[in-house]
Amino acid sequence: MRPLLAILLLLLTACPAVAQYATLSGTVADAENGQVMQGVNVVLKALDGDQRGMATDAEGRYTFGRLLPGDYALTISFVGYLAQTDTLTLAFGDQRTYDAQLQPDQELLDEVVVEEERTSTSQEGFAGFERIGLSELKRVPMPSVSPDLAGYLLTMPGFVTTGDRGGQLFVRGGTPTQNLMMVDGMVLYQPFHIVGLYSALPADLISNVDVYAGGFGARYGGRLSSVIDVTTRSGNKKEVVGAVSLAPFLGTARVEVPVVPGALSLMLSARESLIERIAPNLLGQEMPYRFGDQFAKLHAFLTPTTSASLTAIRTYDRGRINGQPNTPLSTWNNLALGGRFNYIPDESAVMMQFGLYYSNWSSRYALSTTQQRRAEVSGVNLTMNFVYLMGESQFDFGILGRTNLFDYDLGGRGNNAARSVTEGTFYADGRFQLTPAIRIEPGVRLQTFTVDAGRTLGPRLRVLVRPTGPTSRQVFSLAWGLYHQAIVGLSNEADVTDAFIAWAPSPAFQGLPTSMHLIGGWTWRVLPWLEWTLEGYRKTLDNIAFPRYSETTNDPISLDLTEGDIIGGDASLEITLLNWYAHASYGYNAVEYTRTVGLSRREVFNPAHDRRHQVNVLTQVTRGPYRLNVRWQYGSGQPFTQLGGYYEAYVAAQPQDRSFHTATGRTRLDRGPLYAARLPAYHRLDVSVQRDFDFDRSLVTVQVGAINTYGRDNLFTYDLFTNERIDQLPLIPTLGVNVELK
Amino acid sequence: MLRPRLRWCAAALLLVAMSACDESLTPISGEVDGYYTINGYLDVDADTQFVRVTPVRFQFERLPAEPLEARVFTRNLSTGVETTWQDSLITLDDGTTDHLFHSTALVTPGDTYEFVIERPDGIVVRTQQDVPPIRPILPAGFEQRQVGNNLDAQFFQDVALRGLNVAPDDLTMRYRYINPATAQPDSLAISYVRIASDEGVPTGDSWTVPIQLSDDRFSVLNSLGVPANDTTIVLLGLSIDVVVLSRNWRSNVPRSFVQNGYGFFGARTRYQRTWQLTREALSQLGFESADG
Repeated sequence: MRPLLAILLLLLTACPAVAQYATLSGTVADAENGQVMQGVNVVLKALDGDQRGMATDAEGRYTFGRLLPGDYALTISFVGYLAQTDTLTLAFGDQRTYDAQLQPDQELLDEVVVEEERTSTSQEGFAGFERIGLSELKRVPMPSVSPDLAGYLLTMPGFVTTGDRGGQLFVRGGTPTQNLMMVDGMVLYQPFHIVGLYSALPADLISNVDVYAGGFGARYGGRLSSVIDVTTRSGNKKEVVGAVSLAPFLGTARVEVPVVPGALSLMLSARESLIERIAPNLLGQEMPYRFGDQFAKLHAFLTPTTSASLTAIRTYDRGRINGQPNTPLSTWNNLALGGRFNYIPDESAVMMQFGLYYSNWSSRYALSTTQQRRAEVSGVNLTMNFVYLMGESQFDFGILGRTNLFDYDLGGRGNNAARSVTEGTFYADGRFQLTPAIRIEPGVRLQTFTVDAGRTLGPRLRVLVRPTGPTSRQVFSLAWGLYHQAIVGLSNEADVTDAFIAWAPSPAFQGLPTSMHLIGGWTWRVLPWLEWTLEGYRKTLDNIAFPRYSETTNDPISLDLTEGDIIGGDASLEITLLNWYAHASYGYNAVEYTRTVGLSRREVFNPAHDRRHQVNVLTQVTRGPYRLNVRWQYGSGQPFTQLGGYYEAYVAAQPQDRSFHTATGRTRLDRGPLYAARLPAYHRLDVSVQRDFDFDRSLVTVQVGAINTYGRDNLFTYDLFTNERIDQLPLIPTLGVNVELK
Repeated sequence: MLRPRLRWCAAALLLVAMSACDESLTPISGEVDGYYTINGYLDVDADTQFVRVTPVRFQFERLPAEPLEARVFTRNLSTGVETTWQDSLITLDDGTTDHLFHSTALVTPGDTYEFVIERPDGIVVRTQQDVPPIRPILPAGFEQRQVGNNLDAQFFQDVALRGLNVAPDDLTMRYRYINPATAQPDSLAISYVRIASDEGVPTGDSWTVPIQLSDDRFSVLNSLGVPANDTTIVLLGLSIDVVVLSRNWRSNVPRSFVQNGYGFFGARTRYQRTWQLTREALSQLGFESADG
């Protein structure tokens, strides 16, 4: 690590060199509630014509460094808010702070043009990247009035779930444990509830979600497939606000309190599922699922250049995954705690963030009274992130330390005493605007692990081309990177479906699990209201572990060294008009695994998450106070392993022991070719209609709708031992109300 | 008429729509690697052989057995002789039924047998097994050895099981004597291979088992209820009874290679030898000879 420290020191000691220039920094917040605003456009234009622009970060901060003395015009703008413009005169050595509070403008919000929204983030336009805000989440019809991230993610091409029950997400051929989900920097090992329509936290807490379906930069690592980075709101710092909602699926409550007005806010939220209690009367069938979550965040502006936050999340899930009333409950619990401290030194153009996070996930999965698995993982992360500004370009770097502790029992021979993996990481991400048309973002991530005696080097490169400059209607992008994962998730992919995952150190095959991503994208704004996006990708996977299960039950007997090859492409069309939004996408995704069996035999198959074709259509129509949301999803059938039949295995006959003449044997499975058959296709139509009632002190939203409107029997799980089929959510009519206190 | 390109599009859409409407699942293909489970063994010592034959089933539940449309027979690969086995339905522990085949044909040690299930549709399930041959049993000299810290030396007689390079699966010594209480011949069987230290050692082409004559004498006297210093018991002779199983019985999870099927098919051979110690050896050991 000594070379890394030397690099870091070099960079930090270089900072005073910029002190002879001027710097300008500040924070942008919502004038109504005092919450910091991310992605706000901040443009600084010198009177001689030189212009720089950037977007505020998750803490609402911006910083311009290396400014020559002179007169400048500063413009701060964001969609739906009145822009602010001011003139500044900067001298040598000035370290100026300029905080802004933007006033919402409802009329402007209604007339927003798409271009403004699209330039709100530096990552926009990159292949594999999407930034999701609350307005996007609200477009997806949900069985409760409140939107949820999980519902939206499943409208994105290449995002596949095993179903409405179980809460597993596969992104572009990667498995759920190859996804990194963070909430304010805290890792959530299981970010979705047992009813897969819901994520671990309600959408109204979310400021924005950065979703990288692949090709992510060096700041992120430790996972092979994707990153979902959630930034929550900081809470209202001016007045007490809150909301409650009630629907057959879910009841929610949220309150935001300005503990120290203008400086310190507390935001609390809780959700509790109701479907278990309501389903027998509403649906005429049992829905043995119960879940809930609690969230708390304390956010403070300590000084004009420092802020801090403390965040806590707890979730729980209980249910009978296999639907059998006599089996024990399967359960899982998340607990995450985190603290962040943000600092912009006056004397340099460096933004700093320090974080300390703790995450824990424990689970127990019950197949039957005799077949149970349990797993627990805990992790502590320490992060130090720096952003070094160099005019139009910037340089991100940081040091991370992480320790994970594992304990699991998979039944059979899959037992494991408590083990741990510790890793140290240095990353550096550059962003260089070579010309107005071309930007490159090279990066590198160096990691060292206590498993496999490993050190890894993960180079990253992203290129963005806007052929005619910043106003170009077409954007071409390319992302490439090498990714490593020291901890893996073990699951029984031999089941028709399976929701259980045990986190464990990566088995030492020939190195750590590694993936190479190559993604290319083309976005074309055909018309101001019409956008076309085309993306193609390839991911290769090396040294991943694939469990082999016995022929008797679901006991794991070994882990096989497996390689993967994922090829796919997405095409999407987006229409954004004043009263009509529509998004249609088609995704092709082919996943092929090759595993080594024994010493040399290689077995090629398509694993259970190889959903080859996927279609999503999402539309929202607004008429006066009414909003109609419609979503239709189609996914082609996923592979599964058929059974040939069942055979009897007796206790081996002992000499002179004739009990085998009349003994009943143990039933074993004569499995067919691995994943050679396919499940039926999945498709579903969800519809909801909402109406807002605006009162003096509250905004009341009433929603009626239906999930799985035409009652499609989508398969969730099939019990090979009882021949019992469990389907996904049936037709569920919903009626919900949400009261937002002003 | 639709243009060709439109026709293709319409066909593709129809295909997607049709596949989307299908809600059914076929979890069991019926295409199996094996058709029957075979379980049993050939026993040289038995007058009737039993092998259970269970068809692979296509539902999880165990149902009452249906008639087996197949010929079940063994073929002695050493002689070419085929023997057809007879079916009988037996009631299992759970009340369902299954097929237990039996044959009264003698099993010849050292021969190789093939067990075959032949269906009219041409499907054949087979497995084969070598029946362990009978080996020569050679008692060696009578001798006295010091064992551990015992003050008194112990008497032993080594027995070589020629042709075996592993311990036999069962070895029993039987001592025949005159019971003083009844004045009639009587006997005591003492099992050897259950005690690890008694198993013996490989010696050249044999497995040599040390017969612990002194210890066994105490066992005999103890069973008769006479004191250890009694030297009046008449020993009529001693015999050794050896059981050797087929090789596939030796692993922790006994398995057989059953072509087109599953299960276990083994073989068992039992053989004996009787002999008598010399008058001098009997005297040293503390027995009386039958001829005085």
